[in-house]
Amino acid sequence: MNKVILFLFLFYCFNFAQTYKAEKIKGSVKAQIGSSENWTEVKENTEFKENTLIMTGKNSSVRLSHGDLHFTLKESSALSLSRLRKMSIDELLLALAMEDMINAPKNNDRKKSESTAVYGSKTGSSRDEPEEREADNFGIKRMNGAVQLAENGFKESASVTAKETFRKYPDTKNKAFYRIYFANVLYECGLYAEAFDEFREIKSLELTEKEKSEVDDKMNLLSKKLTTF
Amino acid sequence: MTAQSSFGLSGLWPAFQSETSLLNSYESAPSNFSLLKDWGLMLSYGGEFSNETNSNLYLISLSKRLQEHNLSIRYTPGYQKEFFFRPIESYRGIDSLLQSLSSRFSYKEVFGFGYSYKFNNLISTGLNFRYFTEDFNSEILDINIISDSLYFSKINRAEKNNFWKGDFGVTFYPFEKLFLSINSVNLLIMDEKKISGQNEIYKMKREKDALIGLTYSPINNYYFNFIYETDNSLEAGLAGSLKLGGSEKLSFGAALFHDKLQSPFFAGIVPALSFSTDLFNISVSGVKYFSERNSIQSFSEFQNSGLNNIINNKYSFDKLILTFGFTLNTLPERLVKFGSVEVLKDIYPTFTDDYLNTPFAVGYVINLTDNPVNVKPSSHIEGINNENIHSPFVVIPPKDTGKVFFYTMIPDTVKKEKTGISYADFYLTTVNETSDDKFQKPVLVNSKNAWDGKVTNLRYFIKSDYDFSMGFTKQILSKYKNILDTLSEALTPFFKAKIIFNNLVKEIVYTSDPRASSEHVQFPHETIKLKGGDCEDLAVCCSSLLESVGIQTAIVDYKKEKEMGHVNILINTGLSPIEANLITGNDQKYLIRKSSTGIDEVWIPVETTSLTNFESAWDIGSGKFFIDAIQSFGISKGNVEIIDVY
Repeated sequence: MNKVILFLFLFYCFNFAQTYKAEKIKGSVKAQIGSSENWTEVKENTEFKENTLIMTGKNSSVRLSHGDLHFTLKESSALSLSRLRKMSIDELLLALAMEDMINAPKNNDRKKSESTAVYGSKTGSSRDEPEEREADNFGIKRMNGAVQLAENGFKESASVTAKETFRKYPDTKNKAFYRIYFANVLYECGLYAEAFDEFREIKSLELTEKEKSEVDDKMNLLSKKLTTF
Repeated sequence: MTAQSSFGLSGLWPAFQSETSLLNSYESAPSNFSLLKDWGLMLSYGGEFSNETNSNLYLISLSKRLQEHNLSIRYTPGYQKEFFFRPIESYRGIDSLLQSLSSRFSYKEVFGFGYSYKFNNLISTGLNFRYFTEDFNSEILDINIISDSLYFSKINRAEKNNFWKGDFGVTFYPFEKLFLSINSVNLLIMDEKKISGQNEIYKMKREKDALIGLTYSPINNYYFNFIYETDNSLEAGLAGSLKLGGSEKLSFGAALFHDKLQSPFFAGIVPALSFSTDLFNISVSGVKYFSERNSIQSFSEFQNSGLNNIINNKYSFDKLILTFGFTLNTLPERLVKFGSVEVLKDIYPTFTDDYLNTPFAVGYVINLTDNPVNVKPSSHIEGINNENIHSPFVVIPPKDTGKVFFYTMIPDTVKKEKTGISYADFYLTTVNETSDDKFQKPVLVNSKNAWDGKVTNLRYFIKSDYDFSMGFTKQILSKYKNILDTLSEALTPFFKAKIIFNNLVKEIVYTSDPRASSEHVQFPHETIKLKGGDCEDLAVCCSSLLESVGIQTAIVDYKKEKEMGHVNILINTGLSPIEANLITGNDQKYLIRKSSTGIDEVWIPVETTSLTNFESAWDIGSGKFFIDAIQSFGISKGNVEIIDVY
C-alpha cells in the first residue's frame, strides 16, 4: 500500500510539473497551493505549480508568466493556474459533458431540464440562509478570473471555469451579467445548442430591460441558427 | 422375398406426416423413428377380391415409445398365401376309383417385432425381425402288393419350414423437408431346420437386396415419396394433407408400384385416404392391379418363379383395407424442448441481486407444436439453490425457436469457501406439472470472496457485511456522542465520516496486501480482522462502515491504464454548495453532485489506502480526483467512473 500512496504522490506532483512565475505584483495577492486550506502571500518572482489558486484583493493585480505566455490577473479575481491553458472545442465539450455525468441523479428520476435553474433556491430553502461570507465573494472573484480568461483568448477554459463556479457558488448563478457573458462565450465558441439552453435558463432570472432584450435577441438568433442546421 | 419388398397395405406415407400410419414401417423403413409419443395400437382389416371374396384381419400391432427408443410388435394373421396344386394325370386306386394327387402350399408371416432409436434430430436407426412359416403338404403314391396284385394308395407327406428374417435401416433428415433412408432386405435369414431337397425349390425367395427411400416436401403438407429397390423394383407416390381444424387432419395419397416379376411396368396402384386426430386415425386404402388376375395358373410357372412376397405377387388380387390406429398417451404431451443452453456467466455467490436482474444462462427452446407456447423456465444450481428458481414466462411462436433467459437467486446463507464446478439443471414447463424438457450444464461457482474485476460489483461486498458494519460503527460513534451532539445537523455526516475513518485507520496496521489479487475481495469484517487489504478491500470496508450509519458513498473506479487500476471512494457530506466553506476553504477539494431528489450536495473524494488520518486521505483523494477525473476529462472519456453504492 505504501507503493500505492507513493505512486499517487509522485503522479500528483508529476502532473503539476508546469510552473508559473508571479511578476509585477500590485497590492494583496494570495496563493492556495494544492489541497492546502491556507492562503499565503505571493511575492514577486515566486514560482507556482498548476495546482495553485491565485487570488487578488481590491486594487490588486499580478502578472503571471509561463514561457511566452503572460497573463495579468486583475483586482478582486481568483484563478486556478491549471485553467490557464488553451483548450480545444472537443475538450470543452468533454468538460461540459463531464459536469452532467458527475451530477447525474442516481435514481434517474429527474429530467435534465429540471436541473440548474432552481437548485439555488431549493438549497437555500432547505436550510438557514447563511450570512454573506468571504466565500460568497470568492465565487465572484472566481467569475472575474473566468471573465479575464475569456478576454485573453482562453474562451473554452473560461467556459469550464464559469460552469464549475456556478455549481460550487450558487449565488453567482443568479448574477445575470456573468450568465449572459458566458452564454455569449459559448455562442462565440460555436456551441449554439448549449448557448441556447443557457439563454433559456437566464430568461428565468431577474433581468433589466436591456438584459431581457439582449437575451431575446440572442435566443432568436440561435433559434434561426439551430433550425438552419 | 425380394421384388417389391417395400409394399405396404396401408399406403405409402411420408415419414414426418402422420403419427399413426407409421406404426408399422416394417416393410419400407425399419429405421423410422415414429412420431408416436407413448402407446400406439393399430388394427388393419380388409378383403381380397378373388373369385370368392375373403375377408381377414390383416394386422394388429402395438408400439411404445420410451424417450428416444421405439419398440413395436405386430401380429399378422392376414399376411398369408395358400396354393392348391392339382395335376391333370390320375390313377386308379385300390377301390378301382379314379383318383389324382394334389399338393397344398401355405406361406404365412406370423408376427414380428421392431426397435428403433433416435440419435438426434438428424439420424435414427432401427431393425426388425419377422417370423414366417411355410407348410408343404404333398400327396404321393404308395405302392402296395397284395396277392401278386399291385395297388396304389395315396399318402400325405407334410413338411414345415419356419424361419426368421431380420433387417436393418438408417434414416437421415438432412433438411426439414427431406427424408432419406436406406434399408436392407433379407439381411439375416435363420431357418429353424433344414427341409428336404424336394421342397427346397418352393421356399420363398430370399435374395439379399436393399431399399433406398426418399421423401421430399416441395410445398407445405405435400410430399413426393419414392422407394427404389436394388433388384430394380420401385414405388413412387404423392401424398398430401389438409388441416381441418384443431388436431384433425385429412390425408390422401396414391403410389404406383413397379414389380420386376409382375407386368405391366407399373403393376398397380395403392390409393389411400386417412382421417386423423391426436387420439386416433382411420384410413382406407386399396390395391388395384393393372393386369387381369386369374385364380388358376400353371404349376410349372410357380415352380419357375416361386413366391417373392406374401401380400403382393402375381397371384395377388385387388384389396381393400380399413385401418384403425389409436394413440394412448399416458405421458404428458411435450410441447417444447431445448435446442441448447449457454451459460452466460459464472456464479459469484456474493453478487446476490445481480442474478435477479441479469440472466446467468440462456436456453434456445424449440416449440414442437403448431401453436404459440407459454414456457415457464426454471433452474436449480447444485449447492446454491434449495429449490427450483423460476424465471419470467416466455412465449415461443409455433414451430419456432426462442431464447429463454434463466435468472437465479442466491440465498445469504450460501457460504462457499472454495471455487469449484457445480451443475445447473434447466427446466422447461408448459401446461403440465412435470417439465417438458430438462438440460444439465456445468457451471463455475466461485467462492464467496471471489470478484469478477468489475468495480460495480464491489457494492455486493459492501452490502453483505452490513450487520457487522453497523455494530462496528455504533461502537465507535458511541464514544463520540458528546461531540456529535454539539454539532449542527448539517455537519453531522461529515464529522461522523471523519470519526469513523480515523478510528478505522487505527485498526488497520498495514502489513502488506494479504491477497493482492483482483479476483479476491475481503468483506469488511475480514479486512478489520486481518488489519489490512488492498485498495478494493479498504474501499469496500470504509464504504460499508459509512453506509451503515446512513452516509452515502460512491466508489471511484480509476480504470486500468498500464495495469494500474485503482479504486477509492466519494463521501456525500450532505452539505449544500453554499455550506461547503464550513468544511473547507479550498474549492478544489470537493465536487457537487445532484441527489436523487435533485438537490446539489457536496461530495468529497477520499483515498482509502491513505491510512494516516482523514484530512490526509481527503487531500490525496481530491488531488487524484482533480487530476484524473476533472483535468484529464477522465469521467467524460470513460477512464474514471463513479459508481454509487446504493
